[in-house]
Amino acid sequence: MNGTIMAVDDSASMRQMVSFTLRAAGYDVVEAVDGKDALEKIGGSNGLSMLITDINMPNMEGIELVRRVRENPQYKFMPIILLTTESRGAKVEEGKIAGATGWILKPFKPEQLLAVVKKVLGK
Amino acid sequence: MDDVERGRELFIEEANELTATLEQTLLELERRPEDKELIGGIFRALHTIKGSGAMFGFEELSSFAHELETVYHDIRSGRLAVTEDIINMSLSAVDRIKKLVENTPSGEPPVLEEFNIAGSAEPHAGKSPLRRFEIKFKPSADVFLRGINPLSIINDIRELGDCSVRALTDGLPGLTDMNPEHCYTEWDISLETERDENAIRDVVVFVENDCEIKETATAKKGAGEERSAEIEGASRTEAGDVQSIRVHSWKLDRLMNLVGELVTVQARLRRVASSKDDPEVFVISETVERLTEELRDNTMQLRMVPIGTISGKLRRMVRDLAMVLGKEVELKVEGAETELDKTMIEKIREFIVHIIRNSVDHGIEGPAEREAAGKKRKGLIHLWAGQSGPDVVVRIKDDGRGIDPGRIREKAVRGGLITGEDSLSENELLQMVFAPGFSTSESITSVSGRGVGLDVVKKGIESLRGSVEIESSYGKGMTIAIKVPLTLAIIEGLLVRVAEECFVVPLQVVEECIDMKGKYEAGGVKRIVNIRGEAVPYINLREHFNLEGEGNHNEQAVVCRLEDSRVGLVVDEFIGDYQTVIKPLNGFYKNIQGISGATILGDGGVALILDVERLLKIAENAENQSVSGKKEVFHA
Repeated sequence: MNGTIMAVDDSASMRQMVSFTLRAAGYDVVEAVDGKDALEKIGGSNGLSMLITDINMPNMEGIELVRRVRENPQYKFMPIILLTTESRGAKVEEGKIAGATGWILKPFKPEQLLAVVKKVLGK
Repeated sequence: MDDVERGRELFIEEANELTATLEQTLLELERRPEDKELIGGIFRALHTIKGSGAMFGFEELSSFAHELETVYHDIRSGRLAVTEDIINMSLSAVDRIKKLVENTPSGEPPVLEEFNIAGSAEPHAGKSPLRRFEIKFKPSADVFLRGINPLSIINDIRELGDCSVRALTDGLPGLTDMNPEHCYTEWDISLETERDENAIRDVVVFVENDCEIKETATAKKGAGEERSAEIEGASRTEAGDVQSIRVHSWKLDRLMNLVGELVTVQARLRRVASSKDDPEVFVISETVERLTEELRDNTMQLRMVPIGTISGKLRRMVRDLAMVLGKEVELKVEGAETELDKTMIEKIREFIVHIIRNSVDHGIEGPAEREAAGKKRKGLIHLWAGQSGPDVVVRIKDDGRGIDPGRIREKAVRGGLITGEDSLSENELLQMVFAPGFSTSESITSVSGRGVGLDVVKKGIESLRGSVEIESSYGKGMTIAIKVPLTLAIIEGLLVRVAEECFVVPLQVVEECIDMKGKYEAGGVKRIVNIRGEAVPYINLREHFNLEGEGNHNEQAVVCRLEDSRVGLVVDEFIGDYQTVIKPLNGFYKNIQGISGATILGDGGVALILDVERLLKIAENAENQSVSGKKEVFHA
C-alpha cells in the first residue's frame, strides 16, 4: 500500500480522472467535492499521505482548505498540491503562503500527475 | 554512469590528446619533411584513433582516420613525399577528426579529396554533451511547512547526473533560537548533466524561487585547449599504472579558498599563542604554522600550469593567420615550461592572443616588402616566458615594421591628445599607443580588428596587478612585455610598522634588513644609503605616505631587489614574517603610488601591501623630487 491520497474537486470528471490514475499506480484515493466535504472526511479518516485539491470550489475554496488543513498538527508537513489553470498567478502565490507544496497545471496528462505525486511523496 | 559510458569518455579524452599531438607533429614535419620519426608518430596516432574509435561506436571517425592512415603509410614507405599541400590537407583532416570526436555531424565531403585551408584560427569548440551547472538551493525557513522535503529535491537533482552537494549550515541559530520546524540549511550543488537547464527547473519547480541556477563553463573537449572543466578519471600509461589524476578545476578553487581562510586564521592563532604564556600551546601553534605553510605551497603548486598549454595552439594560429593574409610568419616559443597559476593563465591568454594577432596582422610585413627591406622573407615572432622575482614575464617580440613615431605623433595631434608644439620623447610617444581609441592602422582588417585594443590589454593586465611595456625600433620590430604576479591569492611578506600604520613587503623582493643608524649620506638631495660600499637609493615611507610624527631616529630599512636594482624602504619597526591573503583595493585607491593591495591582520586591523616596483622607480627618480624642506640628516 502506498498511502491514502485525497482528491478534492467539484468536477466529477476531474475527480474520476485523478482517482483512476492514482489507484492504478497503487494508491488509495478518497474523493471530496469541496473544502467542507474534505475537512469532514479528513476528520473521520485514518490519516492522509497527501492532498490534491482544486482551487475554485463552492462552500470552501481550495486555498482556505489548505490553511485549515495546515492548522491540524497531524498535517503540518503533509504534501498538498493545488490544481490550477495558471501556474504563476496570484492564486498560486497565495496558495504557497497558505502552505501548499506545489501545483499542477490544468489541463494535465495522467503521467504528469503521477510524476508530481512521486516527486512530492519522495522515494 | 555505466562502464560503456565511462569507456567512451576515456576514449574521447584520449582522442583529444592525440589530435593535439598530431597538430604539433604536423607543424614540425612541415619544417623537417624527411624526418622518419615524425612520420612514424603521425601514423601511430592515426592508427590508435582508428582502432579505439571503432570500439566505442565512432564508426565514421574510424573509417576517416583509416583513410588518412593509409596516406601516411605510403609516406612512410617512401611512395609519397611530404609536400606543403599534404601538410595543409593533413591539418584540415585533423580538424575533421576533432569534429568527429565531438560528434558534430558534418555534411562535408571527405576532406581528402579537397585541398582546403583551415580558415578559422580558433579551434572549434563544438557542443559537448556534458554541461555543468552550479545550483544554489536556499529554501525558505518554512519549507517543511509546505510539505517539501529538501532532501528529496536534492535526490531528484542527483538523478540528472553526477553531483557534488555541499550543505552550508552558517544560518543555523543557537539551540534556544532554533525552531525545529524551520529549515536553516542552504545547499551548493555542482551538477554535471547531459540535460539542459529546463530539466533542472522541472525538478525544482516547487521551490524555483529558492534556487539559483547558473550554467558554468561547459565541459570542453577541444583538443589541446586547457580544460576549464575536466573529467574526473585516471590516465593510464601503457603498463596500466595510474600516473596522474584529472581533477575538476572548481575543486581546486574551493581548496584554494579554504587554504586562504586557514592561512588567515593560523596567523591569528600565532598571535594569540605568542601572547599567552603557555609553552604547549605555542608549540602546537608552531606546528600548525608549519603545516599550513606546506599546505599552502602544495595547493598553490597544484594550480600551477605551464604556459606551454596556451602557447601550443598559438603556433598553429599564427601559421593559419599568416596564410590567410598572404604572409610568411613563424612563431618561436621559449620558456613554455614556465608555470603560472591556472586562473592567471586563463586571464592573460586572450591578451597574448591579441598581441600576437596584432603582430601578424599589422606588424609583420608581406614577404616582398620584407625582402625589399633586406629582411628574411619569413617573419619571426618570438614569445619568451620566464619568472622574474614574484612575477612571470611574457615577452612577445616581432621583427616586423615596428611603430612609426612620426605617425603616432600625427595621430596624437589630430586626436587632440597633444599639441603640435609639444615635444615628446620617443618613449613617451610609444606609450600613447595604450591610449583608448588610439590606432595608427587606417583600415580595419577582418582578422584582428583595428590595431587598437592595446588599451584594453593594458587595463586588463593592470587589473591583475601586472604591467605592460612596449619597445619599438621603427623598421626593425617591436616588443611587448607583459608582467603578471605568479598568483593572486596568497603572498608571503614582511610586516613592518611606520608610524601607526602597518605595511607588508612581499618577501620575494626582500634582500636584507638593515639598521639605518649611521648609514645616511650626510646632506645632499639624493637619498642614498651606503651598504657595504654600494650606494642604494632609499625612500622614507613615513614621508612618502605623509604619515604623522617625526622619525624616532632608530629607523630600520628593508632593502629590496628587483632584477638589477635595489631600493631601501625606511620603516620604524620590523614586526615579522606574515602570510597574507591578498585583498584587492577598489578603484578609489588604485592610483596611490606604492600600494598594490591590502590584507586583514590577525587582530582585525588592515595592512597595506607595498608595490615595491613602483617605489623603486620613484626612488630612482629622486632627483626630480623636492625635499620639501625636511631635514634628512642623521647623526651617527
